[in-house]
Formats: sequence, C-alpha cells, structure tokens
Amino acid sequence: MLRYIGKRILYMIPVLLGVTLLVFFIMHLAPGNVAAMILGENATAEQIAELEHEMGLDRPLLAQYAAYLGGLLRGDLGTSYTSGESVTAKIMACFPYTVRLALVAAVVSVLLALPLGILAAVKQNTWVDNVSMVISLIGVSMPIFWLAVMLILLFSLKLGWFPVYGAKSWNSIVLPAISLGFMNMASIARTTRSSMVETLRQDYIRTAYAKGLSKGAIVIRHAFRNGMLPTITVIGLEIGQMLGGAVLTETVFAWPGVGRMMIQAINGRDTPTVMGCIVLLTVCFSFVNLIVDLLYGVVDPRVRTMYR
Amino acid sequence: MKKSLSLKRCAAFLLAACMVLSLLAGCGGGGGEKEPSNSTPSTGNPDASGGAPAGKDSLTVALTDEPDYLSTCDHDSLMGVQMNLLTYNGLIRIDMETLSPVCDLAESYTQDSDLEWTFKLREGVKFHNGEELTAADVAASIQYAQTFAASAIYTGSMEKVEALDSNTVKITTSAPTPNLLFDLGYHFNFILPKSLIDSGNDFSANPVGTGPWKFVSWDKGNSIQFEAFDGYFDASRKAAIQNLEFVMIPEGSTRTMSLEAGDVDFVYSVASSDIDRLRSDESVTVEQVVSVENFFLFLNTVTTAFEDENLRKAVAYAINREDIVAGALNGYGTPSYSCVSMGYAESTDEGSYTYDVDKAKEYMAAWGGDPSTVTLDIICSNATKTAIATIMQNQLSAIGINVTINEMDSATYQEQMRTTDLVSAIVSWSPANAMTYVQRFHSTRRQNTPAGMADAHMDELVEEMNTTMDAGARTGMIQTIIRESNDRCWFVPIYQVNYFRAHAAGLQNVVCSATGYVDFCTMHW
Repeated sequence: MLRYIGKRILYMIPVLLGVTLLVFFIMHLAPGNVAAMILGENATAEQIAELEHEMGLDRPLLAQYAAYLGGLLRGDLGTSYTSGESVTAKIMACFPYTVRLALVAAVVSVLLALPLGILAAVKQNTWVDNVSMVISLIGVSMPIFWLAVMLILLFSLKLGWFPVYGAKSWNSIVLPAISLGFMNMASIARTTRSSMVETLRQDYIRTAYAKGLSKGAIVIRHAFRNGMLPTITVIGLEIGQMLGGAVLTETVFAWPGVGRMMIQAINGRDTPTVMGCIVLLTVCFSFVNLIVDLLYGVVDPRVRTMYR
Repeated sequence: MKKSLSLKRCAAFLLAACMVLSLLAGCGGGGGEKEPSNSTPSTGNPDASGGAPAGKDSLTVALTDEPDYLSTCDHDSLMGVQMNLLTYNGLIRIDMETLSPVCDLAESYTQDSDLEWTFKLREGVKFHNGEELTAADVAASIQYAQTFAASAIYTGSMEKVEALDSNTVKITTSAPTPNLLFDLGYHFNFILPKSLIDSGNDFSANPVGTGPWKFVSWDKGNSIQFEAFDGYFDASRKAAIQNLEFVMIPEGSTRTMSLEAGDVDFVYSVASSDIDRLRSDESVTVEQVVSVENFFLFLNTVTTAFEDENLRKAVAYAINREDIVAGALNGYGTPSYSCVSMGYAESTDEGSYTYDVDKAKEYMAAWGGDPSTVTLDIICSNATKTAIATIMQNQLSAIGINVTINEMDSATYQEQMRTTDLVSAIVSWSPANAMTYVQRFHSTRRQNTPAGMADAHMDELVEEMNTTMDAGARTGMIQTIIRESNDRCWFVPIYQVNYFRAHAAGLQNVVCSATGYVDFCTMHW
C-alpha cells in the first residue's frame, strides 16, 4: 500500500510540470505588458524597461520558467506583481478559508445527497423518486449566484439569522456552505441513485431477499457499500474542485478564499499568484484522487488486492 | 401515463415551492419595491441601518477592492490613497469639497521667489509612534518619495528640500512650479517619520503617520481596522468615529444587502442596479456626486483619417451623450461636452460640440472624404466601455462611419494605447486639479500615447501656463487651453462619472469628494 501511495505521489511530478508549463506560457504569451500596467499611464519606456528587468521579465521565457521551477522546489511560489507579497504567504492566508468552506459544503452535500439518492433508488419510479430527482435537477440547473442571493435575502435580510458576508463569525459559513453544497448535492444524488439502481438489480441482492434479510440491512450493508464506488468518485471530484476555490460562492459571500484571489490575480495579470493557485489546485486534485483511489480499496476488497 | 402525471405534479409542486421561496426572499428587508413613504424599515435586524444605536462609535465600510498597499509610495490607486488619507498627512491637504489646497501639517507657507517656498510646520504634531514631527521628517519623506519611479510627476520638480530649523522647511524647485501645493497634497508626498524611513520600515505592513486614525490590523482579503488617534493635531478634524473597519465585498448586490441588514454602515460604491431600491429605503441615505472623472473617445490624430479636424468635429456632433448615459449607464452619469471635466474652478464648456446630426453631416461634407473608407476601431477594457461603444456604433452610422468594437483585458488595452496602430479607445481620466488635467494636451504626453494629440501652439500654451505663478492669470490660461482644445476637438468627451455612496441614515456629515474620496474625519453618528 505504501509503495502504491509513493508511486502515485511520484506521478504528481509530471502532472505538475505539465500544468505549470502550460499555464506559465499561456500567461506570458497573452498580449499586454505587466510592467506598464503596474506603473500606470505616466510611466516612461525607461521606467517600464527598468521594472521589467527588476522583475526578470526581460529574460528568455525558458529561463524564467526554470527560475520559477527552482523556486517551486524550495516552496517559494514567487512574489505577487501587484502587492509585492510572497505568493506562498498569500495562498496560506486564503487556503484555510477555502478548506473550511469545501469541507463543510462537502458534508452538507453528502448528508443531503446520499439519503436522497438511496431513497430514489429504493423507491424507484414512485413519487419519492420523482421528488428526489426533481430536487437534484433543480440543484444542477439552478445558478449558484441566484441561489446565494436568495439565501441571503431570506436568511440574512428577512430572518436575520446569518451574516450577509465574510468569515468573521462561526455562523458565517452556513449560507456559503449551503449554496455550494446544494449544487454539488445534485450531482452526487443523481450518481448515487443510478449506481444504487444498478446494484439493487444484482443477483446477490435477490439472494439476500430470499435469505430473509431485512430491506434496511440489504440496502445499507449490501447494496450501498457496493454501489458506492461511482459516488466516491463524484464526491472526490467535487471536493477537489471546491478546494481549488469556489469562485462564485466566494465572490457573492465575500468569502476570503483562493478562488476569489485567483480571479483578482487573473484580472490584474498577476502571473505568480495565478501560477501559485493553479499549483495548489493541481496538488489538491491529485491528492483527492489518491484518497478516492485508496477509498475504493476500503469499500471493495477486490480493489485492495491490486494495491499490493 | 399515471407515472408521467405524477412526475409532472411533483415537478410543478417543487417549482411552485421554489417560486414561493424566491417571493419570500424578495420580500426581505429592503428587497422588492417599497413605497417611498413613511413606512417602517422592514429589515430583519432591529439594529439595521437607520438610526445608530446609542453610543455607537464604530463604522464598518464595505469596499469593492482591497488596496494593494497601505504605504504612500508603492501605488497610485483610489483605494490605496483613501487608506493613506486615514493614517497620514501632507504639508498641504486637498479640501474634499472645494478641491483646493489648504494647509495641513504646514501652519503657513510663503513663496519667496519663483523657485523658493518656505513652509512653517505646526508645533506639537505627533506621529502615531509618539515621535514629534520635525522639518527633518518632511525633508526625508519627500526625498524618500523621489526614489519611486511612479512619483516622478509629483516630486520631480522639487530640486532641494531642506530643514532650515526644527519646524521650517525650504523647498527649491528646478523651474517655476505653480502646481507645487497640489503636488504636496498628493499621497506620494505624505509625511513619514524619518527614523522609520532610515530603519527601512515596511510602511504597508506598519503605516505610521500623523493621520487621524492609527492602523490596528489588516486581515488580508477580509478587513482592515483603524482606531482614532487621540493625539491628532487638528482638533477640527479629529475623528469622531473611534473604530473604523473596512471590509472587502466585491459583489455589488452583497454590499447593498449588507447595508440593508445592518452588517455594514457605509457602502463605498453602490451598484447602479441597486440605487433606486436604496433611495426608497428610509433607513439608508444615498450620496450622489458628479465626479471629475471624464470618459472620452480617444482618437488617433496622427496616423488615421481623424488627423482631419472636420472629421473629428463630425464625430463629436454625431454622438448623443444623453442616449449613451441612458443606455449604457442606466441614466447614472452626466453628459460631458468639455475636454476638461466640469467641477474645477477653471472648468468651462465653451467651444464644445453638442449633439446635432445636421451639423455632423456638414462637417463630413467639409472633410470631403469617403466615409466608407473610415473604420473607427474602438478598443474597450470593460463591459461599460463596450456598451458605450455599441451605442456610438449606431449613432455614427448616421454619418456613414463604420465602427468596430474590440474588448480586451486591461494589460492588453494599456499596451495598445502605447502604439500608433491604435485608432480609437474609450478612455477615462480623473486628475485632482485642472492644471494637471491640461498637461495631457502637451505633446510630451505622446511618449506614452504616441497616437495622441500633438500641436505646437498647444505646447506653447501649456508651457506658458506651467510657469505662470499668478493664480488669476493662470486660471485664464487654463480656460484658454480648454476652450481651444474643445474647439479643435482632439478627442470627444462623453460623460462624467457619478459616484454613488450609501450609508445608514443615522450617519451625519458625510462628505464625498468629486475626486472619488470620502472624508471620514467629518462623520459622526
């Protein structure tokens, strides 16, 4: 198992190299002069050239990329073009907020989605199934921005239960987590339902009924466990995505996470910050994928044997 | 069939539930339409907005963007300067209502010759770290500012800054500089403690000045906190608000709802879609200021057909500014006809061109070219500029000019502005005073916008103004420059931005400047 984990971590290196290479060149090949943008319209050509030299932007692109990779190996993600701060420090300040929001939203979505998906599968083609699927359809199709504004209007303005913005108090996370979780809930519930419907048709389930096991035991102990693999994959993907920053949710609720920071950095052509966020997103996705693969082994012993 | 009906019923039920949720939410405080009568504010929070709770001495302000720096010399951004105004002072301050320079850390000043100025400092002024302000701090601060490239146009004229004694400073300029007082009121020239400059203090992380508020903390991405400085030297401008907090809320509707819920007390920038709603809410006051920020159509007068004055005038006559303000800005702007914003003491719209399609056609005929050979390619750096260009596209078709629109990000836009390939752009500018404004008409500005105007006569006028020390004569010269620029139609003014700030109705004496800043010193509950 440890060998497998080590191997997977090593696989992350070429993935990271590929992603950083792609993003670095895209950012640098885009038209526009960063130094001119920083110095503003009054800057002379000499001042722009001087700043470009200071920032190392006058060096060949490959040399710049190599320097970036060197810094990355030392854990140095560079310095923000716009604020002059260390990108590592900037990300470390935002990432805990993003993790907190992603985890709470994941809990919300899983707690809602699993019962909904299981119920829909067990009560297939009944009104319960229909209601569950309509709820998840609404979740998938409802714009997250609209849901967030509706939640604020109802729970903050009308009822006064939660703050409108920010991350200052313990209850600030409730509305962002619900709006983010509700959207993810929809896809998890739909996956759970289809996977459970498939599993409930298996011969061993019919055998379990024939043996006289209770419906609850069959659904939870036999069907759910075996039908979980696709659900785990979707949950993993959703968490990976949320760890990269939920841009819209963070923007509407003024949640100080990585997503909001990345959008500001893209708008300000702050390449080191954008690169830092992308590296973080890649690492998060890779680790979440690894955890998902390991969880396959936990729920399915057949998979576990492949890790040896 | 039965299953299908059941599915339809469920869907209908859930959609209905969803609509009810929206309606309930829409009925929340401040939401929906309200009668502009004496109706009780319907916000959920009893403390919301309206009158301040007794003894309230704090203020929470919602900002759109976080400033990148709290230091004085690393930036030239509106938010950064707004923060600087809290913690620092200059020798001179620009009054937010009159936009005129008044003494701040300087008690008085004399102009000894065209090149020499002497400033007497107020006595007993303390920095936030307890040190007393001296002339050495002033000299060190200006010399420190001169080391930053971006400060050059505000510090470059000062050849020598000397401390004559502990509270007298002499500034010698390299040429007559009538704009010196304005320059000294600019944030680059705010005064820092010499001891901290010498020790290499990071003034962004630790902003120490003499200002009415002391920096407390900066939770990046979240909030910046300040507290009133007890030892502030100017009793008339001592902060009544003890605790001042700025929070970052990028989304416009969230800022509005935060104000309605009472989570914030002041919204720095109100989204135009929310203005009417807030105006009908008695617990909120909306401040509207016609700013000096002027949006105009920049034309390449060097390498395109717009080199011809008649063609430029045809364009100026063919553009209906009122339609642009109504269509692109929901009516929240002020049509502009003069190349320098109205609002400065020197402003004038003499010589400008108003909407008149017949006259536009006359000028097209005077130009004599074939309109089908002219393509006005307008570059835009945001959606508002694109909306303006789209309306112009329709208006200019009346005189046969074909308009193409090219929206791009800011960095690309700025790079395009530095080339002669550029045909046209929607541009905005908002300098603090008219004299700085008209510097734009001098050909030296072409090093950054080579497609911009260049005219020997205009250069002479600007140079003469720059050395005219008599205030009355200078005002006359500025007005001459404006009049002639309007007449030559180097670019086409479109509108002046209106700033909208909103705050709890209980907050009194709110002063919002036409240059974009808010005077927090004057406010009280």
